[in-house]
Amino acid sequence: MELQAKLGLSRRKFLQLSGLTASAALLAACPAPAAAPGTDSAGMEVKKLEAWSRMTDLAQESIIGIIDNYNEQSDGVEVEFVYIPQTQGSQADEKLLTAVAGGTPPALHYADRFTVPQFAQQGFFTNINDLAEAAGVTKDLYFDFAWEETVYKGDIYALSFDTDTRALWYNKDIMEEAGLNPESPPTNLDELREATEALTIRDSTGAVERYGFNPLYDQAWLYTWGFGFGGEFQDGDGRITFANPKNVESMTWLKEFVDEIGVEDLDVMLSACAGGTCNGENDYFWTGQSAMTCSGNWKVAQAKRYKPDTNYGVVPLPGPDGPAPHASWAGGWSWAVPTGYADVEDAFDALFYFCGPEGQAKYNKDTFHIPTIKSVAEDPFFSEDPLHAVFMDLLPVSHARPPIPLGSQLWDLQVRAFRDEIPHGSKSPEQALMDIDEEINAGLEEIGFFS
Amino acid sequence: MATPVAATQPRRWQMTNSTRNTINGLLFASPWIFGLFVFWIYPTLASAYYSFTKFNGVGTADWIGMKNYVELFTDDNNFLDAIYNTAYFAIVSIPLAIMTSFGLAMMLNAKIRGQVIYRTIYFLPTLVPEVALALVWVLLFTPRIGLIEAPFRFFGVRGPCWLTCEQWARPTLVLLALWIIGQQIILYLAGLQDVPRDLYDAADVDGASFWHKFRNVTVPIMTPVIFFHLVTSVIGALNFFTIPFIMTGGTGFPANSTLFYSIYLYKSAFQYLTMGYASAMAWLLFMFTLIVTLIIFRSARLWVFYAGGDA
Repeated sequence: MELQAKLGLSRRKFLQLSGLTASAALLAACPAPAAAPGTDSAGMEVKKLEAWSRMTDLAQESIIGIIDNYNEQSDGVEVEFVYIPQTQGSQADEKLLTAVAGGTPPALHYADRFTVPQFAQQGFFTNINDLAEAAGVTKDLYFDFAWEETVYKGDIYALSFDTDTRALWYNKDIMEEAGLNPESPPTNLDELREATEALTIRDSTGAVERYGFNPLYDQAWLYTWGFGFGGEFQDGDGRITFANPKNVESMTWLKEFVDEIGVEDLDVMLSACAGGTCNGENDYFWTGQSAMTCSGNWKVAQAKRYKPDTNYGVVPLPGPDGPAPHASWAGGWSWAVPTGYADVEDAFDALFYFCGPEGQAKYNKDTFHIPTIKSVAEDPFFSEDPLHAVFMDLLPVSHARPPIPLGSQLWDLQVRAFRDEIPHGSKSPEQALMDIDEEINAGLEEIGFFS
Repeated sequence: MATPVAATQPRRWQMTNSTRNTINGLLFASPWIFGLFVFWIYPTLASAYYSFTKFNGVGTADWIGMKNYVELFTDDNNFLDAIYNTAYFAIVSIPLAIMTSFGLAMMLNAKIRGQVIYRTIYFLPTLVPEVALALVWVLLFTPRIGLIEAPFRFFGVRGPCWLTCEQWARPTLVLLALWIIGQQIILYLAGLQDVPRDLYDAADVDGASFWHKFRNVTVPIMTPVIFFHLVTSVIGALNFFTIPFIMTGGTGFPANSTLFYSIYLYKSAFQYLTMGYASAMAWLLFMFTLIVTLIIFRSARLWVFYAGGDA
């Protein structure tokens, strides 16, 4: 009562005023209604589709270019490139998970192709089998390995976009400086070890100043060495066979090589690059801190952009008895439509353009990857550049990683065994590989992969 | 005097003032309560439910009972490593943090020239965003080329392997955690201002040395601050995530020594798509933190002295 007299404000008035203020504040705080479809010049409604990708740098520029081309020739649909942050290593995607779970998935998602079976099995990608068949997509158009990674239990869940192969890159200028013949790079593993020794510079305390070669870095994965020794990672029934005798042999050899260089020195490089600080032009190979590296064909474009004045060479990765072009395996990416996206047909239309001849030609030429559509890959452009020609020649003999629904987990286990357990000697190569097989095969059994 | 009219009409239920007040209060707080339920209580309870299911985040949640919990303890080496790493970090860094912040606060309390400048300098590290911190420290702690190697190079020896080897990775993270204690220093400083001067004077009269004064006057009066710091650091240490995740990319390199509990939880949920499993981990962590905090609170009766209240 006193308060009322003091303020000249009755309780009712006060409640009304604050209610009004609160509602006004609430309305103001609400976000603007989700972008109502804009209108293009013709006054038609334009649908906006989001294409999520974690690519940056050259690849991003190219993809945006493809999207612009698509937007120009499409009516009523506009695709927008949205950058999403990368997950280290296992290439799984937290942002996609939350978007699909929340019912607001993007129209298109850029997926590392070997994770497609996993996402398909878990229900994250839409089955586009019918749309693809209607559009005339068939197995014969694509390279086999690229096709198999996008199909799960007979249905298509993504279309492949690009692929790549792996070989030994070496810095000719550094080799010349060190007194080695830049025109005769290592052809077998013994020569690789010798060259590494010759090219490594250590300082007065014994720490490595310049690496000759780091057998644990970039694309030198367990797969690479295993394939190089003639090993296999999956048998005819689909079971994972990391403990194949040739794989074990390759890892035993690797441990010797690692001990020669010194595992602490290799760890320094791996740890320094663990946070993603060695991407793009900060890669040790571009900065001259590493004379040789096992990497892929995308470096051709990077070399042109970052280091046009340095001389580089590429040869197939050396094997135990000579060059081992079969050490290469083909990876690559794809586009898919996440589950829950309503306008699947519009999304597929854009997807078909990206992963069709036009989109693939543009992307793979801009970034020096390799198209997965056979006819596009025959374009002489891809063999014009002498460095890229080496990668093209590796394509027919390249392997592919096992396409299984436990892709992320397998990748993590493989990384742990290869960069940690085996080099540090905490497990014998055979034990480490057997443990991977046991865990993954048990997991696959549980989800009914083998039935 | 009641009027005849009122006496003949049926009596309607009338709200008392206090009921009306309560209802109005609740109405005013309703947006916040709504938010609390939607964003905190519901997810927490949902997570408890999911911990008994097999769930990948978008599909159906299949009830499997205690299987997740059993698997964590019997079939998962990563889990045990995660527990060890987190426990190591908590047990080593918390006492060090308390001693360091307390010590620095004592020093910063000294009446010297430039006291304000020193206090600012010691507070600055807390202003650096954690992610930036982690990335810069990866470079700083790189053996051979990191700045941290400078004193070792000066003497021509090779420094320790810091984050790149198992034995040094955890201590390095402890060291890093000790760098960002600026806020705790402020807390201790504030507490130090509250120590009554006359107690020090009385101690001086009795001929007490610095150490005597510290042990018998300063520390007892500061026990509430220490208590608060202890509770918050336990909770913080058990949740340690951002810095090791950025520094190692979540791989736990080397040899799982930087795989902390929350990192493994995160990976299980979002990378391996086993939400049920991760929910079980989350609830275990919650229960454990709760129990530890309760124990600390209970023990407070024995060692925390509130100067203002009952001795």
